Amino acid sequence: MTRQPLYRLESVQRIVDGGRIILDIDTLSLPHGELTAIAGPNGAGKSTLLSLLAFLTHPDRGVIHFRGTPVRPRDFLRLRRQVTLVDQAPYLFPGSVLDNVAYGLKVRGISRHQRAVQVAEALSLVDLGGYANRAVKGLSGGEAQRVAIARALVFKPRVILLDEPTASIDAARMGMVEDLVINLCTTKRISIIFSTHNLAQAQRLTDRVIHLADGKCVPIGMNDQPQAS
Amino acid sequence: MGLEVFEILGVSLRVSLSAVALATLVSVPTGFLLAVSSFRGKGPLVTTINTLMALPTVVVGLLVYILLSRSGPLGAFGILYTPTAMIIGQFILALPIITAITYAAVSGVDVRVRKTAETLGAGPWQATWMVLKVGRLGIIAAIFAGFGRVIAEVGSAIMVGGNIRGYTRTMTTAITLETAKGNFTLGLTLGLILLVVALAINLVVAHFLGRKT
Repeated sequence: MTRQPLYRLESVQRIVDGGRIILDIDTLSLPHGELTAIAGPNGAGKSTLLSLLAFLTHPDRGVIHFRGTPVRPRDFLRLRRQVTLVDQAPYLFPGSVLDNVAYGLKVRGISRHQRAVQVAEALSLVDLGGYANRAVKGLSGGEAQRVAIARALVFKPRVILLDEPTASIDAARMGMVEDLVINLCTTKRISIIFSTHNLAQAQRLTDRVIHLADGKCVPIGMNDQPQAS
Repeated sequence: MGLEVFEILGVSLRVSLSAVALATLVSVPTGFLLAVSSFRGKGPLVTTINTLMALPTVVVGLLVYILLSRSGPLGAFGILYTPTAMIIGQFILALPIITAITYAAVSGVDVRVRKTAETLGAGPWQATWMVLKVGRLGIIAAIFAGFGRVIAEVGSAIMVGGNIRGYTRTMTTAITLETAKGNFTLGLTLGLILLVVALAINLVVAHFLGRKT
């Protein structure tokens, strides 16, 4: 028996006010436990696609299947708890690193003691052990990015979606985040889907690259090449 | 005056705190819903609420008087010239202030707060709670502004409370009376006491918030 893909999108469209179609995907399958890149220039629809995959927005047309089952709006909250999205410039709640990383556990009703254990584990995975009581105010961009990744990791999601994870950090930190992403996928078997405008980076990190241009999946090499940096 | 000052202060605090507590129950959810929703006519509604912040206290006093006077629609309740009537007047005065400032505070909360909370698995109520938590300083400022408005008002209190000694006399109505009698020093002293009490309440809440944040 063939294993169902993690996601399967069929005739999915996202339409904004005025009737403009900003995402138009005929069919797209994304596998389990793999690192997948969505590459494309700014405005190609990458963030819109990630938002759909994170169950934060509904498609205006078409169906999204998750683990073989078509997703209905009433499934959103349940599915959102298996998937998480980290923005390119992640928002951290005011307070401490602990408050942020523990949030996902708190809303799931995990006990304070268990939260502390899991937070320490997640912070050490992103090399921020000992940061729990730091205020988020004083963190650098790279540290904030890693706190956001720890916050996503802490509740052991099946899928992590990363929107341009290295776009707002310096080159020195980029390698660290890339290594972390590969490591999470290979050792923790978490399905990771990340977007990037940098095709070279996408191809360096994975063989599974989906190229978006003007809201559509196009074969790499066609027009609207992503910017290489 | 002596002990009577404490009695007057007690009436002032009881009436104003009750009015603000009731107004908070209505205004904070209203301001919050206004901020997070979009509907036809929202702009004019917000403008109206902002305008009502400048509602003269005597106009509110007059409206409540008309409602509660014996021939008024609520005259049968017989609550004119009671602390309840004063609470109603101050409740009306506090409503637009707390609503408008809550609206501004919640509108100012980063839109990413809700999205981030939802991304991390929060349900609608949990995400709403997070937005309120992030905007809480603004909401507390709204409640304080409402309290400041009603504890200092005299127009409505005197019109619907009647400034009855030992019953509906508040600090502000007492100041009005003492001024009319020419007791300026006593009037000023009462004003100073009122300010000190307001300062003490502010300090207690600021201390509590300081420990929380």
